[in-house]
Amino acid sequence: VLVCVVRSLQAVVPHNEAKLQQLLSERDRLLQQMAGAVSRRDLVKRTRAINQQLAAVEAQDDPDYALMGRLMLEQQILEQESAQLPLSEADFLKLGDWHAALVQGMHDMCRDLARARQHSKLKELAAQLAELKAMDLSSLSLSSGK
Amino acid sequence: MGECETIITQVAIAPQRREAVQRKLELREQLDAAMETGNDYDRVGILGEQLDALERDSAQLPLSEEDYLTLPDRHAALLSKVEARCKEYKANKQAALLIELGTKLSALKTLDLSVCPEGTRGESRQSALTLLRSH
Repeated sequence: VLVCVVRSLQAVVPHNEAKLQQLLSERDRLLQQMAGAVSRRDLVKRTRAINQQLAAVEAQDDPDYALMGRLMLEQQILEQESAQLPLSEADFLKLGDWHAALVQGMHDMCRDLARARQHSKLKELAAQLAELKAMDLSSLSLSSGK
Repeated sequence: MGECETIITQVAIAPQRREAVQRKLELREQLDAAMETGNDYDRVGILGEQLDALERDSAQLPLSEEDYLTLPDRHAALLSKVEARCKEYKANKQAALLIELGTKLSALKTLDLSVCPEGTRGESRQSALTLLRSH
């Protein structure tokens, strides 16, 4: 029985290693993108506010075209700013889900490492999982203030 | 659109012309009435001279009578034209041009047109035009 258990664990280890490396690489990428989240969040909020104002002006029976022009100009400036940001709006909007999926993936990996008795790696990954869980995600919220 | 500046300037100088037009209408009415009675030639002569003097003086005014009388119509036509152009700029997302023309449109809309023929002595603009142009 012991031989069987050892063999099955030996089979699991290379598979876990590749998955672990993938998770760690994804975590690094997430952290990198999170660094640009505040700028993107602010720009998304400003863009939405301008879009709302513009829609309100356009909906008027006798619209103020000068104001409409100023809002359109602001919109164009924001579009230019947006193009300079490293994090795209689409990626920004996916960050929350991505973070949740990564937490789940690392959690599963911790469970697998525990089963495989890879305590050293487990300890390392558990620390990273705790860090990931404790991450401040307020920069992803579009509803509240800055 | 220089037409906007033209209309704005013309509205600004319209009060002088309005005074002249009102005075002219009064004199014409008095002259017509005097001629109808047919006896008071002195009065007809005096009124006629006053009218001639007024014509000479008003010829010096910067805004012509024709321009004054057509001011409301030209203002309305220009409003439509500028608004249509603003819509074009909006559709083409030409923000800078839209700001410039939108500002002019606002200025046109806020012009005080009470100095224009519509308000001439309470008569309708059409009758004022007819009377002035009939002589």
